[in-house]
Amino acid sequence: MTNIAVVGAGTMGTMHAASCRALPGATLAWVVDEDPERAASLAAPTTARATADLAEALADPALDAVILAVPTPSHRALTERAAAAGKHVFCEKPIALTLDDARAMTAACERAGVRFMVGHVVRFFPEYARIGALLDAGSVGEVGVVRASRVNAYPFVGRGWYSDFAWSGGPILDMMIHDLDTLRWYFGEIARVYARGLSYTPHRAAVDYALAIVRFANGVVAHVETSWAHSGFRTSIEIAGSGGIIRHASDETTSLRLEQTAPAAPVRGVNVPHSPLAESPYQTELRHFLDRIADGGPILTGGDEATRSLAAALAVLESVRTGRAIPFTDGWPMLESQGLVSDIPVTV
Amino acid sequence: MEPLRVGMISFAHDGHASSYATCLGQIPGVELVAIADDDEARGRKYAERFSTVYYAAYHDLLARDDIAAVIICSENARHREMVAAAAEAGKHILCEKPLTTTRADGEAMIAACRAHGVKLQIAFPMRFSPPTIALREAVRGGAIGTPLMVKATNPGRMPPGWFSDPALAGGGATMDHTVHVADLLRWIFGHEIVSVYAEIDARLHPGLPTDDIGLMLLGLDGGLSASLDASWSRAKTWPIWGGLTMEVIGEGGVLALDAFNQNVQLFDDDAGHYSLVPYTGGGDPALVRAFIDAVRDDTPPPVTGEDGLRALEVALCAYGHEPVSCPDALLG
Repeated sequence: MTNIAVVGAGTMGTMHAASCRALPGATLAWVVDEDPERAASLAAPTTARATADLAEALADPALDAVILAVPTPSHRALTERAAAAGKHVFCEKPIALTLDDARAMTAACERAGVRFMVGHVVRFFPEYARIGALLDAGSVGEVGVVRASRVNAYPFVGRGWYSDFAWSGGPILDMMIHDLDTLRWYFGEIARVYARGLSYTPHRAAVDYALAIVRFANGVVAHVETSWAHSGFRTSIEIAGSGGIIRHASDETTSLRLEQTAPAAPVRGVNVPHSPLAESPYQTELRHFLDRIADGGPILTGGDEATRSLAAALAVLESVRTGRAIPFTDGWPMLESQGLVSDIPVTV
Repeated sequence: MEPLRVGMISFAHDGHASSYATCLGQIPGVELVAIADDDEARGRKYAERFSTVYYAAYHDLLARDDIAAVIICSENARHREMVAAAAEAGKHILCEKPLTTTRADGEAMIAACRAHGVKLQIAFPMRFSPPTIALREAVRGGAIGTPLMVKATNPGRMPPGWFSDPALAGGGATMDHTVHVADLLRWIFGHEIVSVYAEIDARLHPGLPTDDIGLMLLGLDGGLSASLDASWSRAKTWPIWGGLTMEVIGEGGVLALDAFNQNVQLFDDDAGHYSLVPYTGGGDPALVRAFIDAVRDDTPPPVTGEDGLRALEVALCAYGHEPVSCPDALLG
């Protein structure tokens, strides 16, 4: 049994708390949130203790692991504290806003001898896993051109941190990083990227959007779309090869649809996809973390992988900001800036 | 009233040529009176199908004084020679896209038509497609506020024959499929394309002597950005030849065009896969009608040689052949 503290009782923390409750190998032991009422409310239906003080949870010798579901700028400090306390760390994506922070987090966990996983959950979505298996089986021959898309409405959440570009990095760091990570998983390292978008224009306060062209070292060419300009969440991916096409679109594979005659209560918080599955991708992801803690095996989305995906997203941001293509060497982009630049350039 | 007599030169682009021939037959007062094609079997086949006269040499067709206009659907690299000869013979010209394969040829074609006082229209049928027209009207009517970004695709199955012979086509997928969207972007948004970044490759058809992948990011003056997928990436089992989509992201919303989404589904056990069967004629009837109207009314054609050249330049720039402005394009 792994005793877990969920840190951050927002949208993703609530999701992870539900996974802890659903998985037989996990116990939700603590809920930590700077807002004690929020912590108490998420802990209430369980035996978990609620606290506003992370130190209290970390001091619990029975606690094995933490799940960090807090705004990205806090990831490094909390990871380092948890690792120093000897707790395994599961951290939401993106791992950090700078490559330095990401590497420091990975190093801290290595030094402390604790496991470190980053929540690149798309690799655990069964449709993306199935696509990976089809690719491994050579189902469409040599892959040529790929299109991946992930769109959503502009986030308006309670405390508003997603829509604060300096905290979230906008849709490129929040959403496109998923597809960059998944495509890296499928096709290996990136050779260069070029992108255009709205992230460094004044429009980003209400509409943010980007299009990237990614060339992989193995020759695959990919078009990646990310959006906070649509009315709801949907994803699609299409992989064309010499022997056929693999494609999936979330809005074409809806298994259950509800249409109510009276408008339901407005949805609050970040729009997270729901699909009626025997095990949610978030449970699958957490089960992977628990299993790797138990057997010491390699974690699919560990610190180095997450840092490389962060680097790819930073390269897309830099291309949007500078108008230049960004070349990569051994999977690492040649960046002017090793972290998120949040200022909008002043145009003369 | 004397009928307007039209000739057609080459059915190399046979899908479009036979569609244009059908469209001609639907316009009152217009007669398709001759087909010239140096491929005798092909020429005779279509001459018979459209009940008209066959010439092996297109110069013999151009020598007929009763023919006022010609439609040229030859291989891309042969457009220049035929357009120049038709212009010299005083015939008005509807020329298949792309205009030609080099900028110099394109400029020479435009100059020849101007020198001989004949009209030159380029066949961009997407300008005449009802869903595309509706998109343009919605954008211009302010449905989504100021347009900011565009995601466009024009993929297809690889066409057979000369389309993948660079000597005749001037390139592969990128030459074949870039010009439609390039023209639509200029026409819908009223801005010129001023920068092109491209990833071009051949990975989908083993042994292909030209490209079958063309992914581009375009910059327009005025600040709009657009991506374009021109790849021959539709599988043989894809239910339709390809398509054209354009999603426009504006300050106030999103408009999504799927121009070839007016189909019925056909599940035919003999085909081994299902097919999408169009229930509209697309833009071709209005395209041909517009050309005929311009000739009859002596008005400027709605799509000019210059329009064809601007669109061609985008494809040439994607290949790195012509500097429209390729900021720091890293060509594959």
